[in-house]
Amino acid sequence: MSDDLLVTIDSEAPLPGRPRADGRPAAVELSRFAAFAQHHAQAPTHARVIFCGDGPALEQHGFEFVMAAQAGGFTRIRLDTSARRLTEAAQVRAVVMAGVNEFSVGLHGDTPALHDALTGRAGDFADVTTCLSRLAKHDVRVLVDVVVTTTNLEALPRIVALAIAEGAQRIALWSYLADRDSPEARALIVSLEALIPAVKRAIAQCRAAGVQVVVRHVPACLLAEMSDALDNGSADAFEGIRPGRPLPRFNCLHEAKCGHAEACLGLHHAYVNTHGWELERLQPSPRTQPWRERDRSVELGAGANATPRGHAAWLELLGEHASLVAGVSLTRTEARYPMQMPDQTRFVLVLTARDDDARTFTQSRSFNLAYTDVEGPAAELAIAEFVGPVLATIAANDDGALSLNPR
Amino acid sequence: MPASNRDRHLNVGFEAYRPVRPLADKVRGENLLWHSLLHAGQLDAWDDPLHAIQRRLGVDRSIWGVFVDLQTSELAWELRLLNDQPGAPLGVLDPLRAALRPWLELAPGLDALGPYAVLGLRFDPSTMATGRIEAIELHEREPGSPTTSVYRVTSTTRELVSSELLREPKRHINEVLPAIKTSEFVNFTAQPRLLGRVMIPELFACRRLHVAKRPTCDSLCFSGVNVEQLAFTYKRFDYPAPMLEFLTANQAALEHLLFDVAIEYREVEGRVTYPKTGYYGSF
Ligand code: SF4
Repeated sequence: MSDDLLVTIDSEAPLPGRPRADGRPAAVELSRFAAFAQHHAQAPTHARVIFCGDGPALEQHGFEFVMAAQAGGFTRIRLDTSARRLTEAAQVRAVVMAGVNEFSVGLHGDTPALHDALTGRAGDFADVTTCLSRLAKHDVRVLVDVVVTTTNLEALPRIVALAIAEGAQRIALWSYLADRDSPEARALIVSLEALIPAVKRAIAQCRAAGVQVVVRHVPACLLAEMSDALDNGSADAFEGIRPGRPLPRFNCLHEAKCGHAEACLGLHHAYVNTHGWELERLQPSPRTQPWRERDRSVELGAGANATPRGHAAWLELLGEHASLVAGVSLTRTEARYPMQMPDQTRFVLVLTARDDDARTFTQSRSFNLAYTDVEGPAAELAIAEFVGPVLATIAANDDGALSLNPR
Repeated sequence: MPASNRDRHLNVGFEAYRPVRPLADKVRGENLLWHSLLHAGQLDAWDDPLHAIQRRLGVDRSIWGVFVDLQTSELAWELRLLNDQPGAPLGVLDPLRAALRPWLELAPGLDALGPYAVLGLRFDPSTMATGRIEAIELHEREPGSPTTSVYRVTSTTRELVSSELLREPKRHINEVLPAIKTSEFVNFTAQPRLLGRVMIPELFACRRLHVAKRPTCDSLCFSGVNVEQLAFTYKRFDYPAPMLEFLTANQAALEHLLFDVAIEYREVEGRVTYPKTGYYGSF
């Protein structure tokens, strides 16, 4: 579980790490979030809520979502939307008064030409700088996301300087993740050879100015002494709903040999297709623990700070069937329940974050439900029959209060 | 053809695997084979012979593969049969010949074989009209070795057509990489980037990797990929649109299965080209 909960009000907002909005229709209903927030006030699971939206739903219900979050006991309330919505002083004041205390803004160039070409919207740079100057007048936390591409690499020191001058309290440097593996997208992907020194200089630049800096989706081994800036975690998504396309996928050929493998994502597939596996450049560190095969075909949360929390709530999810399981083991990405059938067949019931692009046989509000690691004589249909009522109970009990990090 | 709990699930190396989803509302993977034959206008010709093999050797005893020629989009097929009669002089060739006799002569004149693990045969849209398949492929394994040698055998010839290393891609990366990089067909030293074109990242997350050296190209088989990765393969290599439509329409019903995607590759003027790609399932 993450400390952050992502609530997609609508799917039109630009995503941190993507210069352009490329949403697919998906949205959280206000009533469902409000009900969840009421429950959250009693038993808080997340410190921060991140509202993401840029369409009619945000216009109509944005303030109500924020009020629900305040009542729900979230201490940090962040808004991810287009800068163009936050260019009027009165607008910004109203949003801050309503309770939003963090804003994330994408800044990808130090000139209108550079930034607007990357976002694909003329006038966006002007809106971003106006928005930043408006936000600077309030006691709020301003987070600036910079996506590093081949077109703005050279300008990175100036973009960072601009962000600092405009009052950014945290700067996130994203290596560009192509949504689609097209020739145009590949042309924007910076080789590690060029990216790493530029990112390291930018980290130093931020630190010298006393501004927090995080780096996303860069191989841990290459950041070396600056790898503490790496942050690959992602927020839990309320009801499993995320804006944008499916999460990008990563791998590293050194995975089974590298001591960082649990915390490092490796290389984005589009990167490999453009620049190769970088075998000679990557520097795996020797493993001290045995490696366990794991599905790396989807993004991982920061595995290192996996903390089992609230086991009781996870067992309650099973209702009367809780007695069938030999406990639950929790990581940020999975809840695993070992089960045994009367004929001694054993298997593990696994809950992962709901992902409509990788559907399992049963899905509940927040989870993909599946079973794995079968050992024993039972045929598949017999297992399906045995596990069916358990899955149905989980689906019925899952009210959205529990969530897992998508991998 | 619906899936049932009598189905056995085999990978291309004849290892059984557990289906990765419950079987309710699922269909058998062989539907993809029948559809590929239909698409190529070959179903009438091959429906009876292939079912005759299935009847004689048993359901889920054999592997089928379908390959797409990337230049011409022509399809070709391969069958693999486990030699479960190693004591008999010709092994599984005998019952296979008997099953195919009404339609085809198989390796005519071939009357003695040494020990082999797997028998393969290949056919394309022109095969049935000739009434015979001259050559068979024998997969021979040293006991305990991860390497298989494949010989193409007729009554008068025997040539080595493939030498294959079978390994887990992540766990055995230190063996897999040297095997891939030792290549007559791609200069990975001159262009390390090309490794990303053959060790395709979208397929790398598989259970087994077959690294094969052939007379005219190298080949990788990503064994144990899911239907989503198979759909990626269809798109990545521009499989005929009706085949992609069929797969997409049935994707949810095939989610329980794992497939084995094979690519042949060689370098031409600094770029990796893929003469033929395809995939396997069991029937
Ligand atoms: S070698 Fe691979 S897994 Fe290890 S830190 Fe580098 S990129 Fe990450």
